Amino acid sequence: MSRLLRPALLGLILLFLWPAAFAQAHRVNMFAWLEGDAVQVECGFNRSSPVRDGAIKVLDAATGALLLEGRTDAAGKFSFPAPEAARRGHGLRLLLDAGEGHAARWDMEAEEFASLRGEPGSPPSGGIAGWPEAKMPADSPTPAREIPARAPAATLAPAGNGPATGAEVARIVEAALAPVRSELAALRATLAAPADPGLKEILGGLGWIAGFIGLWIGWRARRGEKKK
Amino acid sequence: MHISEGVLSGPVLAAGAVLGAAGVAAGLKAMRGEAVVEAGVLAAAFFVGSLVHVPVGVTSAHLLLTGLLGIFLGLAAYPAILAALLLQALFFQYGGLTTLGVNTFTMGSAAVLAGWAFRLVRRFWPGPGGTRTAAFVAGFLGVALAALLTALALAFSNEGFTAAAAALLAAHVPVMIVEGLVTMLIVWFVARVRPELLPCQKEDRP
Repeated sequence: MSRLLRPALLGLILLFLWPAAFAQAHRVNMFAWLEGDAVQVECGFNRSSPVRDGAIKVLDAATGALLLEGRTDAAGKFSFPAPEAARRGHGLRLLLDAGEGHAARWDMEAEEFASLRGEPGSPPSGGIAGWPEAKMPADSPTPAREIPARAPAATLAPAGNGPATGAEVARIVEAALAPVRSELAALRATLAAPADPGLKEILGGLGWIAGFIGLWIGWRARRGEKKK
Repeated sequence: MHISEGVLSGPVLAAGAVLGAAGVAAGLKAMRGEAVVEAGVLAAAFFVGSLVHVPVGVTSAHLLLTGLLGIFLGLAAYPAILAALLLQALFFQYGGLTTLGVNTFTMGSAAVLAGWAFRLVRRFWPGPGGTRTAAFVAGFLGVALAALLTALALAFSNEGFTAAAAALLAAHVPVMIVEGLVTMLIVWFVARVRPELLPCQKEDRP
């Protein structure tokens, strides 16, 4: 008997002491931000391991209509061009299904897409401040929106020598903001779902359980007294 | 095996809440005397057990201890699991408040059924060897049944039952074995130190 138990006990102790055993958890994180014209999405189980091949759905937050679907790559990333609805002043709702009942949600407010408005063909919607000077003459080509994911320094300077046009200023500001947006989105995700539970959470929970026991015993004792 | 918020449809959530509440009510009624403290201690074990991760290939699964709760608590496993799940949702953001009912029902039922399996095996195989085997079976079944019931809940939403059940069962095979061993060790220890805590202890003492 103990011949069987001792190795089992040893194995279990080793398993519990394994540092990696505590490193992973199964809560799912998703965050997204706008970079230039595209929405970048990152999904992970507690940031430590990416969600591979997770199903992502992008909905119009205002109407609930399904806009597009996709799957995350091996790094848990996914990106898609900002849909028409976002340019029209609607927010987006991103849903992640990582399988086995693991899901996450990320909302992008309409304001996050403010920089996309003012394009030809889609008049800026009232209420939210867009880029008032970014309106182009009707005959001009589409404003420069092809901002690379991480804008190299060169794009941060206006083209030509003359005074920068509104569109150029908008593009420069947009390119400079992209990394800030990514940082902000990551920070928002961290705030919404803090890191792995620590001693505080564990002790707090155990304290609550002790409290529940006391409450239940006390309540039963009072009920017993009343019956007598 | 916590189902996150936003996965299940309204009717499934409602049905889970009703079934979970029924289980909790039955459990509270069955909980007598010292059993409250026992339920609390095991709820604490269940609460912390979710932090012990068993690495399974690329992903990881955590201990459930449903079998252990079923052995010692019987029906009282429902309220113990509800308390532990509530605190896990609040402190660890595992699962969620809307899925509390469904998760209580799936985990609680798995615990109760595993507890029955423990008693059944012991009836046919009295003695210390039978007790250990029964404990392993209960620990193993506790996880397997939890996976099956979770798959059943998911079957009514996007994933099909067979796909979800296969994925969950496959992912949890190592956990089943580890749980079987953990449950066996704890029951073996309790049988030596405090045999009166085990159900139907009159039949045999190791």
